[in-house]
Amino acid sequence: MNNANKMSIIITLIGILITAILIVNFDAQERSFINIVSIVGSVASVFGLIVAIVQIASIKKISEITNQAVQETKAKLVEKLSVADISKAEKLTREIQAYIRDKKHESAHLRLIDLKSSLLQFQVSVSFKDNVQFKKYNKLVDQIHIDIVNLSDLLGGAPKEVDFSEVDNHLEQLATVLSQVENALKFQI
Amino acid sequence: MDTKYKQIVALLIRKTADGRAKWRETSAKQQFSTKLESGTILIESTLNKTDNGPVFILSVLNDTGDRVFSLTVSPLKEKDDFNLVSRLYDTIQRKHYRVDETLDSILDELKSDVSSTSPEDDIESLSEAESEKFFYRNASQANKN
Repeated sequence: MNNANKMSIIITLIGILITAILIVNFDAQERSFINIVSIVGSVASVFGLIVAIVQIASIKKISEITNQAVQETKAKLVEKLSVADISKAEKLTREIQAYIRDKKHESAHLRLIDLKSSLLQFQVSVSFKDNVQFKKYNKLVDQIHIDIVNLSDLLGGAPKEVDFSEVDNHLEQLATVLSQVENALKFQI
Repeated sequence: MDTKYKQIVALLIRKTADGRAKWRETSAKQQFSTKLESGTILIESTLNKTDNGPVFILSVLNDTGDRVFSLTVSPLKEKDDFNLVSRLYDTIQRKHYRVDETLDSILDELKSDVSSTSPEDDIESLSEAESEKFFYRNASQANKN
């Protein structure tokens, strides 16, 4: 039995007690059926209203607690999804590094575009932001964006010299950052 | 080039010279980038695909890294625009490689080793010596002939 129900029973008992006291204190002449019904009705209305208020307040509180629990569960679920996404992005980064080292630039470019969308998603994730040096991360993402543009130009036949060791270096730094955030989130859940 | 782009380039020259716009080298050779709140600007000195002539490419990436604007200026087609973008590129290079600071340091270092005469006097005396050398070389050439 919750507190609101206990309180309702107590209020009802007090109401019954007050009604009884009032009836007992009536003179013999006043103790007519109509008067007794009137007293019982008045006390029941007042105490009924109080019980109703208590019950409504209790339901509101239960609703708030339920809502909070739903939000917490949802947040935990999102966190778990984030960890999986970060892990996936880290693996993708390693894969791109392998493509670049093997000079498979078309494959690297395709995978970089996939990576880019993940990186943009992380930028708006609160849990990710809380666990990363955001300025450093943004700088890395910006460099990756430029690398994608340069690789795209190169594949399009532009007379451009791209330093792939520099691209690899950016990816290496990114993989490290992603790994750090992944570990930090894993131990928070 | 549109007036708007000219304004952007002119402002970038001023901000770069003041040190308010920071440029960094990218993974592509002879390319620099600067990050603004609304996006990233790239400038690149390269060769034209068709005639292999020198060109500057100015690109703008939005906040999601997509190239939203690209402009190629060539000295043959757009001389004024080329000169303007070239000035920006030169300013960026001078700032990035700290050319002025390096030259000042070299000058200070050299000045400290040299005696009381001012560098201007040295330049003047060097010019005179060069002229004399030139005169004697020409004179001996004439005698030989």
